[in-house]
Amino acid sequence: MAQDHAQRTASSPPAAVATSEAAAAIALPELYVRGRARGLWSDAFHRLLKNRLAVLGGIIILLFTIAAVFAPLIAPYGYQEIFSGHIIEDPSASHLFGTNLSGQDTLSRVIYGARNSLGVGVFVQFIILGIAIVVGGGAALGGKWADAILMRLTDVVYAFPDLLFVILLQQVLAGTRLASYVGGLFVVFFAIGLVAWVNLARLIRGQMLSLKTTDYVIAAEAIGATRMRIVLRHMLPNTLSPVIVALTFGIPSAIFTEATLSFIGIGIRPPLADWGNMIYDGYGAVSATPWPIFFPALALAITFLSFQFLGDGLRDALDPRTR
Amino acid sequence: MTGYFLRRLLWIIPILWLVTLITFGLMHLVQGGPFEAGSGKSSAAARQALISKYHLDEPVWKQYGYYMGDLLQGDFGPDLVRQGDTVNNILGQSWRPTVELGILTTLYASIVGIFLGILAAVRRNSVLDYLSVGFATLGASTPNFVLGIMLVILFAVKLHWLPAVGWSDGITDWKPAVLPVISLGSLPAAYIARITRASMLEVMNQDYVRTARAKGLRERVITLRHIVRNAMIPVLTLIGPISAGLLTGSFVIEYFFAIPGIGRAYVQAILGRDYPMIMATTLLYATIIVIANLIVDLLYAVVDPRIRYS
Repeated sequence: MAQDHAQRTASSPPAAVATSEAAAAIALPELYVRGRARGLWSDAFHRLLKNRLAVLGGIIILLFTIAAVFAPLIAPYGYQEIFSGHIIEDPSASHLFGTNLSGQDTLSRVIYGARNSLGVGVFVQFIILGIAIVVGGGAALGGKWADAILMRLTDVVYAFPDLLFVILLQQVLAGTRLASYVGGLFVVFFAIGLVAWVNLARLIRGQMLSLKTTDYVIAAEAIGATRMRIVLRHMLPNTLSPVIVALTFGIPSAIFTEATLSFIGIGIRPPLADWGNMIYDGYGAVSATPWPIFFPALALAITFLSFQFLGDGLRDALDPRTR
Repeated sequence: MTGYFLRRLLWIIPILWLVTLITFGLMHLVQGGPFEAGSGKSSAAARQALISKYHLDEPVWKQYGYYMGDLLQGDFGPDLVRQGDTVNNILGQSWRPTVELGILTTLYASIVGIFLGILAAVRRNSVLDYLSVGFATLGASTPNFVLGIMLVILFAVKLHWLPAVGWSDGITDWKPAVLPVISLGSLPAAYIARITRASMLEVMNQDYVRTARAKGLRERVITLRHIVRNAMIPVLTLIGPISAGLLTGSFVIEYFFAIPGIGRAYVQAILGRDYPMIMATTLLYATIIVIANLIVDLLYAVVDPRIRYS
């Protein structure tokens, strides 16, 4: 997750601000020329549709999501179904992606595995968002002391080595009642979520602090809007764009973390299908055939790229100034 | 400014103390202990003797007190899994592979990334550009353990060019280091390439580059002196967090390539409930991260005089 940190540090060269403000000033009249005024969101959506890679990423994500949700209908076999006598077979007509060491159908396991990977990716973002809004928002709006305490708290969590902290938390949570739901998936969700919120909390705090001094918030204060209304109506919607982008990039990062945990045997374990544990499992037969590793690895890479493309597209679409 | 960094430096102490507190609390919440029945070969009486020898039967806050007492004297305590050995001793041996791997990987990622990024920007929209962007995209989309597997299949299993596991010192016998370094370093290399390219393209459009060209300077001089130099500022600040990430995030690669480093020791320690070892590795990593962050912020102020801390 050095990458996360790197992204944060890289996105703030002050030099870019001056040029992009100029660009925004030039771009503004064009909006009026267009005749029919569009809202912020539909405008962003149209910009997103123009980005081919982002659209491609979005379509692939949609397909994977459909496959994950309707896995029992789409997968040719059950993910636990064992075909004795068909061990580590290469791809064939009856097993399009081949079979693994236990004689299970790889295609079916890849499809079921999408449930875990996408599920982890998305659920973890909810946990991250929840914590980050409370911590980041609380720090920005709660006054000097709240800010000091909450930001020191993020400093402490930031000091932990991410993946190793996830492993420690995973071990702690594995002993709680959480472990009994959905094959222990919740343990993985929370272990990742409880570690990965730091960057988003800092982002939200920074956004809110800068919004506090904008003219429209001051104007809203001047006409006597309540604090609640200002926060909900003016500040939250305006922090939304960078948050959406950060969450989109957070999904593949969480998926990688989960796959890594499962690969070293402490995430989601067989017989549950998971891309990470399939790769580990396939490694046992690697001298015989690479196929059992190839397909889950490919699925992982395609998912990662799709979210990356979509995230890039969203960033450009939601904040035209960064282009 | 100096005051700001002195304060930041002092903050490291309470942060690390909180790290010890949180880690200690969490790891004692983990079910099971190092001397569970069935985990070793010893009898019940022997296990009981071990438990009381290491004060594991006392309240957690008391154990924390003992631990901190030792820690403040620089003693990380005994290793509970490898009986008779101390954590200091084990860390004394396992820091080298991790640090060597981290340094080599940082070098690899920086050199490859910066080279590809500059190449792509200078030859924009050429085949070279597409190739290097393609590499950067692929490199960024493959988890390091998957890359490790593919490299091992190709270079160790099929071609027998390089060993699949192990580590030497990484310099005199470089062969075992090649595959781990490429596996671990390709994602950051891809990332550095991406940032370098973007930064180069941004700088290329600056007025002073146009001025240099208008003065009639040779293209080589413009590229090296005016563009690359300025484009490196955001890249250099990235290398700090990236190397910290590589030092602390190499455990999967250490695990996979059986490199006897700290990351592997940490995973083994957690699974074996080796409390002193968990504490020591976490604390060591946390120190690296905190110091790396401080250096990065300091670097920011050095390379960009517009940044002021207060």
